Amino acid sequence: MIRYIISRLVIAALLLCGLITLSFGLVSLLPGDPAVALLGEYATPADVARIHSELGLDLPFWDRYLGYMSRTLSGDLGHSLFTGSSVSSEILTRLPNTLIYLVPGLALALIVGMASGTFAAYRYRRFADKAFTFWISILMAMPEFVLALLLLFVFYQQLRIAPAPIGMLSSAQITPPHVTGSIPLDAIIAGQWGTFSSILGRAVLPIVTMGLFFAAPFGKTVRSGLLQVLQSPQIEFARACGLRPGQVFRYALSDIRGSLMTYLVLLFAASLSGAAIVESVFSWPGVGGWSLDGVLKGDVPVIQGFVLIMGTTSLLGYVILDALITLLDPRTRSKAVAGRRQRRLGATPTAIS
Amino acid sequence: MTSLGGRASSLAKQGRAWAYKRSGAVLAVVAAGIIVGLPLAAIFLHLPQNPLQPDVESMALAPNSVHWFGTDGNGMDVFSRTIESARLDLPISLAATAIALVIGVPLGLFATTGVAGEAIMRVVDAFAALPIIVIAVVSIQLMGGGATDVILAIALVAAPRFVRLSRAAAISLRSSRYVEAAVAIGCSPIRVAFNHIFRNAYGVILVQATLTTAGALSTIAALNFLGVGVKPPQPSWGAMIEDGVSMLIRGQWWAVAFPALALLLVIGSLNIIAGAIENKMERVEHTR
Repeated sequence: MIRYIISRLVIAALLLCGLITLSFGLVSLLPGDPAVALLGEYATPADVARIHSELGLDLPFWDRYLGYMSRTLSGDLGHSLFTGSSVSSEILTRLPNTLIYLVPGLALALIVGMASGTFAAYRYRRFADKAFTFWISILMAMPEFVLALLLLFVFYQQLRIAPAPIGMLSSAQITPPHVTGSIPLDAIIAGQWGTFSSILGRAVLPIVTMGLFFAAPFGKTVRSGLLQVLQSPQIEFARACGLRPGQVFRYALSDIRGSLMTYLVLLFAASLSGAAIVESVFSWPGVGGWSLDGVLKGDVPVIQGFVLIMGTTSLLGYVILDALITLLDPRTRSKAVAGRRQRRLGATPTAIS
Repeated sequence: MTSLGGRASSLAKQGRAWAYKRSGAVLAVVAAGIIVGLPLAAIFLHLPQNPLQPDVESMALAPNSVHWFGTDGNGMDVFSRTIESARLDLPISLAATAIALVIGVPLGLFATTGVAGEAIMRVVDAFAALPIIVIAVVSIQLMGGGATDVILAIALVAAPRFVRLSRAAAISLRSSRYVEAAVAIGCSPIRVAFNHIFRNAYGVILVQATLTTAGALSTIAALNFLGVGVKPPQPSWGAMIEDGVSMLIRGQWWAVAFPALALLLVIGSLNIIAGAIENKMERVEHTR
């Protein structure tokens, strides 16, 4: 058991090295010159050469690669080419801003998806199930920025109950004294509960956007998984034994728990990329919007830093998932089964983009 | 098929089930019509207004008899632009899916064994750990940003899923009798992979291809919404929505609503087609 988790950690560490290589390669191996992307089409050769030496692009390939690898592993992600601020500290101050709506958003998706999917599975082919399928199809066809704009239009423009999409604080509010650099954390430390609750109020629309957007695919998975299990012999037997419906449901749930958790981690990885778009709609000062800005400007260290942080976060998610599944399901404790779960993961078409 | 039960209620139930199935088929045909019809309409239909012509005198007009869907902030006709967008958005997503298929499926079919197979799967895992939109934006930014670059970037992002899927199919089918027989009579690995394994797994891959096209459309729209990719004045749904946001905040909903509806309709149609193929496959398996 512990050996299994350690082996997963080792694999994750190897994958991390692969990830660093990928983020290095993404910028170095793709056609196009970052210096030209940075300076524009009309840069003089001298300027291009200066940027090249600044980025270390004039060094041999292996020197660049090993240098990048060792710097990254020691935690130095470089400095932004445009603002000059350190990428790692920038990420650390912005990450809480993103998590403050991402985590509740995913929790909302979990609750809504779980509840509606279960309800639809128990009402299979009846009105509630058809209504559920109808709404899920509409939600699944909606890109997250369309959903965000729809919510903005209804709740801000028409009903006037949501705040304007101008970021985390309104201009009238005093920013809390600088301690950690992250505004929500500083507000808590300084005891400015008014400011903190106003931040939460502004986070409601992003939370609902994330929640609804991810509730749809999750609910669909819950429904189809439960449908299969509810028709299985062991559930029939449990019912025949006269177990209470609640208990039958618990047994059914323990059967699909593993695949649901896998799906949740996939959704988490997808939500990180959705965050960039939602943040740009709501002008939210999180990691997503910041990195997107860097990407659009061709800010190489920012791109690499973001790719690394997001990749590491989802790798961590996968490791925690594997550990949890092993804890919950004794069958996966033998090594041979590890491959089977992965195969099941890849065996069905998925719609997450 | 089930044997005919004597009871009337079961007959009625079967009749209802038949109607239910048919309604699914009708829906799928309508969806396919939308997918094929919209780009054709954009290419061959004479649009009521020039989609690229700004008009200073008719800016931000509400829908009326001249401008059916109203006009946007530059005075361009929303209806014509919504139709015109299909000319670019749909073919790009289809092309990206096709390239992803061509790269991903052979890789997956052959990546079942050996060091090379393991290596391919690790690369696929590493790609799966990255946020999609970021890879797409980075590669488009670095490649320049024309239509071909958008196609390549999206194909790159979508290919890993085809690798996974076709690999899973190859592994589960390889131990089946007919594949063993094919190997035993000396078929080449390529023939086994395509003629025997792929032919029996294409259903799942087709469903994934349809879903990938839908996902590609949504990614393209998101990219255009962020201002990456196809450059103005060529209309695209994502860019139209981006242009309309400032009007939406003022309550002028039409510049955003119609391209968003078109996007919804097309992605929804693709999802419906995928569902129909999946149902069909399940029924075929059931009767076997």
